[in-house]
Amino acid sequence: MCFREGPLGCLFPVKGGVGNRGLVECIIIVVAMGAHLVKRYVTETDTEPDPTKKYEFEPQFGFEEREAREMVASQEHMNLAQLPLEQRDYCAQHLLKLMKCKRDNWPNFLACKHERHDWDYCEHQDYVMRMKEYERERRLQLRKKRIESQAEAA
Amino acid sequence: MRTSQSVRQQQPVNMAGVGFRRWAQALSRGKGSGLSALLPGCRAASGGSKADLPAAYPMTPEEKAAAAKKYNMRVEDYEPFPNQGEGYGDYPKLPDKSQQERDPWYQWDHPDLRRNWGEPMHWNFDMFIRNRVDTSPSPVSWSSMCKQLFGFIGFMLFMFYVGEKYPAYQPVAPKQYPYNNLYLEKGGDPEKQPEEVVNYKI
Repeated sequence: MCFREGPLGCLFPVKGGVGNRGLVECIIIVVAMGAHLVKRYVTETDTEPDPTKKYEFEPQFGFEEREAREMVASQEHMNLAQLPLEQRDYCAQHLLKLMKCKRDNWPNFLACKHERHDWDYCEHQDYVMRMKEYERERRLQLRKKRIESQAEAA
Repeated sequence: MRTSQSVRQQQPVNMAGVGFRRWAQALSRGKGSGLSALLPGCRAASGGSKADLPAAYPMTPEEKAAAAKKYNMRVEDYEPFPNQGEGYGDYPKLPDKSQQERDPWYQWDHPDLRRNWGEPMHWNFDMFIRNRVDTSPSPVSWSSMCKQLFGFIGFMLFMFYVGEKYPAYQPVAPKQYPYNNLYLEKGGDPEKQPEEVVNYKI
């Protein structure tokens, strides 16, 4: 199955599927890697978000109602577990469960598959949220620029 | 190498015979008596005898010829160190070439040192043995090696500069942390009220 789609189809299994469409999609993905860097440093230096600066738009802007993220693990709990600071994020409760499971099942390293998946999935969702936040900032910057240029033209 | 081979071709000597003859000469000189008279001079085994030290700098052609013969060299190959009072005496000045340069397929008397018996020895012979200085030509020239090395280092420094100036990063927002961005955990003052940070779902 895989061989029919050509070597790139194996490397990059994309939804384009069989034949030229899959190949074209592969090329687009490869070319698009680092596109944000090209925009940041070359083509759209004024609108592409800078990760070292604070994002400028209000979190509520454009939302009717926005739910705050909720932290489950308490500070005391994370202190007692001696979690490293970079792991005291919104997924810490899953990590604590995973660590407890690992400790209780030692030396069975094959246990705790579900706990690990829960934690991994939570971190994945967290990353997707970061991607969305970045894209939101980028689009709001573009919108702001567009409105400003329209005001100038008028 | 040319020197040593020519010497060997000229006078193939039986060195055991030479040793015996010298011992016999020392005996016949007949200085002293007892055990020390039987031994070729009474000296510590750790150092060379006075006869092994270089003699005075040769001035006349005859002295030069004698010195060349002493060091098993042809007269035309023999050239002493310049007489500047540095203690070299009549010791021959041999070319600064490492033993590594010598023919590995020749049947040397001492293959490890690539050296023949009785061959004149470089003043700094221990510096030029095969696991020390090697004077054989390098595969590429010195200038080419410098160009390649400093070219590579310069290129890497330039690329590090570019990476510092234009860092690469993933197109994502900074990671969000609870409890006012871990104010207390990052060492914030508990007495003060931290700046409130609320993160939202998206």
